[in-house]
This record gives sequence, structure tokens and C-alpha cells, in this order.
Amino acid sequence: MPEHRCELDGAALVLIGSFNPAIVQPSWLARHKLIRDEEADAAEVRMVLPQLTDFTVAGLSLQVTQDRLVVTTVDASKFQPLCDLVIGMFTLLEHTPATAIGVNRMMHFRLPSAEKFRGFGDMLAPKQVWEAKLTSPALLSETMQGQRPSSSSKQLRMKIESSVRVAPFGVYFESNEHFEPGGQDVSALRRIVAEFAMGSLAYARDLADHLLSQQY
Amino acid sequence: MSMKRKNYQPVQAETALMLGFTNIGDVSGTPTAARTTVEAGAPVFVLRPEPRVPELPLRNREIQATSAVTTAVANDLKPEVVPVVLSREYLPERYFDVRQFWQGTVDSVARDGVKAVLEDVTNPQNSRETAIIQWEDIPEGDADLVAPGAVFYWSIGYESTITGQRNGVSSIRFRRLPAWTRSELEAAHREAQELEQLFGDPTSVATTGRR
Repeated sequence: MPEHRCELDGAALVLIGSFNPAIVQPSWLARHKLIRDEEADAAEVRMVLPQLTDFTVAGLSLQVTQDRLVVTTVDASKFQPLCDLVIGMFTLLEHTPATAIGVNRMMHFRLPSAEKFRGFGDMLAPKQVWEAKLTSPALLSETMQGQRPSSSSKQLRMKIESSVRVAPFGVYFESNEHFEPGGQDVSALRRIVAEFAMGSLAYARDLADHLLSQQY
Repeated sequence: MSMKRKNYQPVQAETALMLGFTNIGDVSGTPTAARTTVEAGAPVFVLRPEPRVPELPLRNREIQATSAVTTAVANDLKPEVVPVVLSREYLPERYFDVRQFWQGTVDSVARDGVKAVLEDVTNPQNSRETAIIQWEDIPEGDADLVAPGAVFYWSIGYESTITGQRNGVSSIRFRRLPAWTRSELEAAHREAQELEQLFGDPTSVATTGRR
């Protein structure tokens, strides 16, 4: 059994482009069979304006502004439906101008002890070099950038911080794999979601598990 | 306040507090009337100008310039945020801890259930399995999607509530994608024609073995 436990796990797809927030509503999604009718009826709609739409439906939260669309879930069983919803929406809105997409995963792990918690921070950022000049140095945040093998993304970033959601001994991991496929409409981004998004989300978890499974 | 050309993203309430905003709106230029108290643990949606790198001398701008725009979320420590709207809970009331996840494809449909081939997504090294899914395990709202070839997701795990209750949960959800668009069909047709020109008629290859 691993010593670390993921207590909160979420994912988000963030698209950058030119959107019409007023179109994207639960009833529109249900009309096109992207969600169940009863899910549309039970949607929690917070705001529908020409500039901003914000609602939760079927365990997925959507926030759409004129230049950014974010679909989020905090339910790991909804990662694939999240991707399907984005693919479905932009199959319907196939001429939407869009230039970039980020695949994000947010995970809060709990480590078993204060010793492990400090040890993990020391492994990521050894303190000796700091201690000569700084009293009680502590790592708040670290971001590493690289490439995920066999991905066409521009880069993948993994941010690691002390969790402010899971305490004590919580560690927060946030991955962002950023794609800019070129082209002006959303079709290239849709293919990226279909081909790479689930792999990116799985890779983020693998990477976090890999780091947390080291000796520290 | 006009929201044109602005965007927003959630940050943690604690972040707002760390930045010295004991009240939302404790930012120069924000009207007092717009102030709202932040509850610990509550999400904060912020409206702010386009993401930009602060103009500091000798700053390595390129380091932060690209993926910042498609980053979603949560432990955001950026100091230039201007919190405006509070909305949904950030800690979910119910949290589904997925222990096993399969992707299934319907093979055949019968009165007593649905025969399906399951791929183990949790442990992809496991071989495919065939299973009979009872009709009562399929959500009513998905019943019209059940047909040979339909794809569904089957999750098994524990649902935890904020009160600490844990229940075993099995959940099936059928994939919902719109039909192929005209332009996709045209693109596929074009690609098929290009391949045919490149490799010749596939029928003749199959029957004669020639390229």
C-alpha cells in the first residue's frame, strides 16, 4: 500500500479562443444529447450572461467567458465524460476560433507524518544551501517544466505546493499540459482532447506517484 | 462594472487572506459596496485583466509566458488578483474515490442484460473481459444509447461525504458524442481518396496481392 493517499482529485480543460457564453447552457447540452435531460433539469446555474456563463451539470462545472472556456470536475470518475463533453460541444460548434488548450489535473495528497512531509520538501528542494543565510527555510511552491513523452504539447508543468485543502501534511500537485496546435478553429483542439487529454491526466497522476514513492 | 475583455479563475480563499484581503474588495479602486467577506475554504472567483507577467526588471518573462493562460486553478499565489465574485463550494460535499474504472463496449443487447467487453483502465495490463450488465444497473436516462458498439464508463469506488460517511458506489455512464459533422465526413472522404491514390484500390490489393 502506498503511504500517500490522494484525498482530492480534479481535472480541468481550459480552452483559449473566442466563445459565445450565452450559447453554452444545460438545456443546450441536453438538446444535443451531450447530457441526460434529468441532469439538465438538476443543473446548478449560477450565472448566464452574454459575457459569462457559470453552471454545474452532471458533476462538471463550466465557466465560459468570451475568451476562455473552462470545464472542471472534482470527480475522478468524470474525467472521460469531461473530455467527451468538450469534444461534443466543439463538434457542434466546429467553427469556433480557438488557439490553445490546457489539460490540468489538481491532486491533494496526504502524507502519513510530519517527518515524511518535511522529507518530501527536502527531497524536492534541499535546504542546506539556504540555511547558511535563511533561518527555517521551507518550500512553499515548486514548478518543474518538461515534456511528456509521445505528446505533441508545447510543455508540461507540474507545480507542487503545501496543500491548503488537505491538512495536516497535505501536498498539492497541479499539472498543466499546454497545447498550441496552430490553426484558427477548434477542430485541432478537439483532436488533442480526443488523443491526448486522458493520457495527460493519467501521466500527471503517475508523475505524482513517482515523486511521492521516492525515499525521503 | 464591464466584464468585457476580462477573465476569471478560482483561487483559494486562504490565498486571498494570505494576500491581506480580509474582505473581498480590499483592493485600491474597488468600491466599498462591492465588498464581500470570504469564508475560509470557500472558493473565490476573481475577475482580473488578461494574465500577464508583472513588469519587473531583468525578469525571465518567457518562463511564465506560455502555459499560464491555460492553467486552471487552485493554489494560485499570484498577487495581482482582484476578487469579485464568490460562488460555489470548493470542497465538494460528496467526493467519489474511484477504485476501479472500466471502459466498456456493448457487444449485444438482450432482454436480461447487456453483454459488453470491458477494458480495465485502472490496470491497463489486465486483459479484456466480457460481462453481462443488468438493465437495472444502467441509468434510465442512458437507456436509449444502449446499442451494439456503444461505449460506456463503469466506475466502482467509495463516495465520501463531508460528514465522513463512506458508501460503496457503482456508476455506469454511456458516452455521449454528437454524430459526425458534414465537414468531418468530407475530410474523411478526402483522406480516403488520397490514400487510394497513394496505394491504389484497396480491393484489388486484397484480391490480387499487388500494390
